[in-house]
Amino acid sequence: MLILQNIINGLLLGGLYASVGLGLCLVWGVMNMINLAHGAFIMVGAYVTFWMYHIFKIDPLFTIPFSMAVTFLLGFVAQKYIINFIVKASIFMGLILTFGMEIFLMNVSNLLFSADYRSVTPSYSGAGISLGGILIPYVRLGLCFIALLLTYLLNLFLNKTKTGNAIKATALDKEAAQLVGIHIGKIYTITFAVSCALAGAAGSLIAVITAVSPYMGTIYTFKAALITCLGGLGSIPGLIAGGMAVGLAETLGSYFISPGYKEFIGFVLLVFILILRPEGIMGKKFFAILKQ
Amino acid sequence: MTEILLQGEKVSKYFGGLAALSDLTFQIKKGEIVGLIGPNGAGKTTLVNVITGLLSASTGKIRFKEEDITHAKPYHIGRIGIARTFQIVKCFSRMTVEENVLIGALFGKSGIGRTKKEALIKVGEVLEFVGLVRKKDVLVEKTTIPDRKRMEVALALAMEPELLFLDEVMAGLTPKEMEEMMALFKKLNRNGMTILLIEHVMKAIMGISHRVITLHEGRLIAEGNPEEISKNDKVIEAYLGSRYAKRMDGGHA
Amino acid sequence: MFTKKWRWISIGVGFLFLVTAPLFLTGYWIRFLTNVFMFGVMAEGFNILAGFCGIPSFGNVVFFGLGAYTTCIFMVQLHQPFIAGVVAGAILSTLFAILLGFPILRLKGHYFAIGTLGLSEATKELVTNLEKITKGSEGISLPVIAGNVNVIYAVFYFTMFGIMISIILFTYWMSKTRLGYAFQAIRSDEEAALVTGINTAWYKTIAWSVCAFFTGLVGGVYAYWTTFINPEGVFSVGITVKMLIMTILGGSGTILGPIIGAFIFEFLSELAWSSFMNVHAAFLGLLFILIVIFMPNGFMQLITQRFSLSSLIAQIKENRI
Repeated sequence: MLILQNIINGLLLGGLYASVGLGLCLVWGVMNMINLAHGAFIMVGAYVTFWMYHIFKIDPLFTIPFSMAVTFLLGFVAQKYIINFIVKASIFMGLILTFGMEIFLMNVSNLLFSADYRSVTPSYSGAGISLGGILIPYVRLGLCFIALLLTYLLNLFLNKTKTGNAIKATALDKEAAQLVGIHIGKIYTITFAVSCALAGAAGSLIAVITAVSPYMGTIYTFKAALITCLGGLGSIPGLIAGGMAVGLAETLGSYFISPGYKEFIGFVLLVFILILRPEGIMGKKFFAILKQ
Repeated sequence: MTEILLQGEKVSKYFGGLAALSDLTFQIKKGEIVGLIGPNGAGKTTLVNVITGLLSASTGKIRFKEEDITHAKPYHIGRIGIARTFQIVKCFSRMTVEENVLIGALFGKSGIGRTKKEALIKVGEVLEFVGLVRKKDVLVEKTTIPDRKRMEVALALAMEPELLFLDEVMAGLTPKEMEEMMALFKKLNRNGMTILLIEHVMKAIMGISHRVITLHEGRLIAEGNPEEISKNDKVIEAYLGSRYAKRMDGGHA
Repeated sequence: MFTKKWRWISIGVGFLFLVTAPLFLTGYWIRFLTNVFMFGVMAEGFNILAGFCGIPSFGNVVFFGLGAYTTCIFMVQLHQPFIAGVVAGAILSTLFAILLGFPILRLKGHYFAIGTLGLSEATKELVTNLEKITKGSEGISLPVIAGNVNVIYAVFYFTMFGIMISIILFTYWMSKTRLGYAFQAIRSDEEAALVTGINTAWYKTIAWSVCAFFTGLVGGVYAYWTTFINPEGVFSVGITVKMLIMTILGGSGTILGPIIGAFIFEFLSELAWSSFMNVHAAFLGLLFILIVIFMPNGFMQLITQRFSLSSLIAQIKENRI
């Protein structure tokens, strides 16, 4: 019974991780860059939710559009005026630049809001559905659901809209996309902005289950990168698979071995899978090669 | 009876369901210049990739002299005397022409025991042979395409191979440059080098090959001397399509 | 102005200055320079791995932490002298690199970067969890050395300096021999390197292990120098990023670049700290961004080639969309 609870927890955690991973996976697949500031944008989204809840008493769920708007704007500016300058450079440049952005955002946030832990606790925080001895917290369930919803919407966007198709084209072959008249710089800007918006949404959701602080986001960046690698680039269903895999591995690992070994398990899983299948669980082969 | 340098028996390569190479059996004798032709997608470069170890054969055996190299690693194959060039010229960036060729001299067949000094002597010889001595200190990024092709050949030669694979070296060269390349290869061959030449430029192949092998859709469809091949129906059909071949037949009849 | 002759003269002057510094600099600056040397070694090690061999490792701090912890455990738990601890730390790091090199070095590009980051995070976690040996998140304290403080500082100063000179000499030697050429060939085009007869897996492991050795070595010295370490401090991603930025700032793939990068970065950091303490960290973040945009090829290129505004702008345009 406890195992079942753990499995459910693992799947829900997996859903959360997947929502966190969405934005990072998008940027990575399209721009071939790992956005280390991803966590910072999650943090921004979380703060938007916190302040709107705290000051205007708005339910966290309804703050999501606002946090997405704020992070979209931030991402748009960041990409257009900063990141677009180094996109063609080596892998390290992107890593350092976004790392610098993360440090900058986290510390500015620290200066503005102080490092105190804040929390968002709506009335339904602790409650959940009880199914035959297994507790499924409302919030976790909602998180998972919204994560899947966002994934579905992103999929729709990428496949059914003109901009989305342009983004897909750019991801598949930059030169060919340019040849058909797609402006890469603009695509990158939109992609990054959308990615940050997704991060902001994830942040709003996370604010309900974790303490909000300037440094909260870092751990999610790494998790997102981990599951993107695991699930494989170029595949959003792969992301969900990767998220579930990590979520399950962590929860079951905590139960059977020890709670303190989350990173370890994640790492072992990553290396294991990448050696057997270098393109990730569901990744497309061409993304496994570093494009230079 | 001349020594057989390279032998392939029923070599196949599958990519999923697609047979890039199908049951290829071939031989290359020491001292030959063999031309490998076939329409695009026939499997020419795939064959070279399989022989040199960058791809693994799905079935079949490949033997170099007495050694079974079917599953050998690419660097081992480079060290026992097989060198190659690439369709899209590969060179080592941020280094000079001389340094590029030096790498061939340091890691190729005779590279193991060599000191840098000894290797540089070999590099000098090779650069002289291909005519790049004056440009030895130029960074590769700043060289012209024909020069880069010559450098790639030089790099391969610095490895002191017995068997040299040249993959579409003539592409993009002017007629004069092509003549110079052909003369270079003939000279190499006179000095004992065995060469496999992949080409689309018929003049180059027919001009210097002793024997020509034709691939089409992964299969070996014809083998013979250049004159035989140029008149071979199957080859004509492969390159120009069956309708043209019929027209040709009609014209000849 | 920046001809070869002047370069050698400035190196000579710099060397002389650093060797005699303990005589006229205060304790604060001696410690500052010791720190610079330490990062210089790590940046140079990273440079061998990434700048010369093209391996995008994002987890090098793991060797630093392993070196530090091994030294502490040797000294505190096993009651061995410092030298034994430091050597053990370096050896352990190297063995760790060789063993883990096999699975990890097969990953490519970004996957490798994340894999190595995962390695350092996982190791941090492991070390934190093995409380019996490592005292977990509490950290380990080493006994403070008795004696004249200035002499002690000077000893550590020269130790780090010595290690830094060693790695510089190693890099110089490497760049002129077969090893260096193999690395650069691999960085440039791994497939071409393979067919030319280079066993890329073998050479990549060598680069990885050499880096591990030196990084582990300074990790061990660091532990005894600061007399206290904890997992968060010695396995911090920030250290990896500093190594990276110093290498880029100074010039990746050059011999002295990372060292210069270490000096410049630490000085700028010091300036920021003393000028605006509150926003110091935010300023560093901004610095990272500016360096990457405006100096992608590093300082060494400014020295070896004539500096001009147009070439700077051309460089920026190259990387930009």
